[in-house]
Amino acid sequence: MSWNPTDYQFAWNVVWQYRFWLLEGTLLTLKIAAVSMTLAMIFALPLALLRMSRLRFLSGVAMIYIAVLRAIPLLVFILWMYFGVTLVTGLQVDAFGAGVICLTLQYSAWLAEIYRAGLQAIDKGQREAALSTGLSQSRAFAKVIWPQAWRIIIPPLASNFIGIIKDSSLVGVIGLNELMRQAQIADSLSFRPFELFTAAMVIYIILALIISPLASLVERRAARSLSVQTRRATRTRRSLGAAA
Amino acid sequence: MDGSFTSVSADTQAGAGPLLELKEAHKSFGHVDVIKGVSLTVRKGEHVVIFGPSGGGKSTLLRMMNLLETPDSGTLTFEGKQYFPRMDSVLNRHRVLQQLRSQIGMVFQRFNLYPHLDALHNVTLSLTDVKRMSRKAARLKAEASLAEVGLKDRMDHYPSQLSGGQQQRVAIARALAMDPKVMLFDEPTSALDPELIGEVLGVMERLAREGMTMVVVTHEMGFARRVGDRLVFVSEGVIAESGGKEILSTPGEDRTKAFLEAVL
Ligand SMILES: Nc1ncnc2c1ncn2[C@@H]1O[C@H](COP(=O)(O)OP(=O)(O)OP(=O)(O)O)[C@@H](O)[C@H]1O
Ligand SMILES: [Mg+2]
Repeated sequence: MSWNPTDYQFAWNVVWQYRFWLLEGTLLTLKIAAVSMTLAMIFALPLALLRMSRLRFLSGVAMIYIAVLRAIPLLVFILWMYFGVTLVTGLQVDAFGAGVICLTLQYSAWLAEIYRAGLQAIDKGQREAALSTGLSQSRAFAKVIWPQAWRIIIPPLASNFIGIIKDSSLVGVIGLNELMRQAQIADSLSFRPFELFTAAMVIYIILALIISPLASLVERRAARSLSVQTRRATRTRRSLGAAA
Repeated sequence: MDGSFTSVSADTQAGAGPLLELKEAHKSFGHVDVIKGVSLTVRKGEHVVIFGPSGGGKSTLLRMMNLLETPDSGTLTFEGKQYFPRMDSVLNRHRVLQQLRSQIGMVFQRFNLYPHLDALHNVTLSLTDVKRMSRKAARLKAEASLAEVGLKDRMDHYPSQLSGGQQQRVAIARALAMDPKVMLFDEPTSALDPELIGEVLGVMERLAREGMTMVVVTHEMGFARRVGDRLVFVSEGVIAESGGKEILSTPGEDRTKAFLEAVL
């Protein structure tokens, strides 16, 4: 059986025919990504703080956790979690839960490193100034350190959100009808892989294209005062005389 | 509410007892001894100027006074209460530290203003957070402090929109707004262009005249001569010499003499 690409008759109407399937898949993809990302963003903060702990045992534990989770291929992790762990522990975890757990755990490791880089970029003097006026450690963090680090963290956070959307396509292997799997099922019924996977690809691209400018908008708004600072700091010092 | 720091002068005259007392302080980083047994008493209303060669331990000494740097040994007493060492539970220890620091203002060489907050909110943060003032009260208080340093019209400027001299004056206002009983300055003018130094020294001199207790690390010898009640020469982790203004013209120690010749 030979297949000559030049003979291929496109039938884009199949995409229209399965539009609700694809839409449903897209919504589930977004749901998985949003839930996992939110949880990962929360979980990553204590992880980053542990990693930065002065107690070597704590930072060691965090370091190992991060290294291990980043090393596991996500597909293996998902299969292990859904089929393996449930079998051994007897816990009933549905596909959605298993997928979210895996994405959350793995992305929390990535995000923890991003948080750490952001937090370490803040001058030590900021914390000292806050403490010197009597702020507690936690208030200094919440009011002074984190708002500044946050601005540094937003752009890599956005690219990780795009990453989590793409990686959620792997969750289809445990039977979750996200976008990728919906396209696959539609293909198995219609034998139109080119059209359907093209459609899936286009949807992934659109999602990414929506997120990037959204993130840079947030970033620009958040970083306005800071970016002004770096540009002006040197200039003002030279040119501005005694203005008062 | 006694907003301005002019009120300080009144109780300054009253007593000249020790306000802040560091005794036999030692501190090392790794295996480098940075402070080797320093005792320093700051009396109410007194203006202590600390000077000495780079790396001599001036900043470390100053930072021990509000326990930003924890001594390895020695004692720190503030208003008769011992703040170091203490036998507190972990929770209490933080509260006691906060209590100490909220009464001691500190001004840094590199200003350390919060870049994400405008001048006003740089000042109000600790008022609402530490002093638990209402937003409105904090705002009034901060406006008064900023007015004292001549920056009332720059309240809505971010640090990035201010000159170095203005930034340092906001930093002074931030410390002042807490009504500190003593102000610590760590080389407040050495990150400034020469033409901006005057405006900051001017604010500090006025503070001094109004009776604020001050400990100032500086290489501005003119300021030291005008304002210093006691000059302390710190070198290699010890107080090599201390005394009145006369030690600037007739230093008793060779090290002091050598340093002054190099600076002047
Ligand atoms: N956190 C630290 N870790 C390690 N070494 C430190 C630390 N802080 C200060 N030191 C060292 O302690 C010594 C004294 O430092 P300190 O900053 O107190 O000196 P200084 O008199 O303020 O100098 P300068 O005039 O340059 O500000 C220096 O050798 C410095 O390298
Ligand atoms: Mg110093």
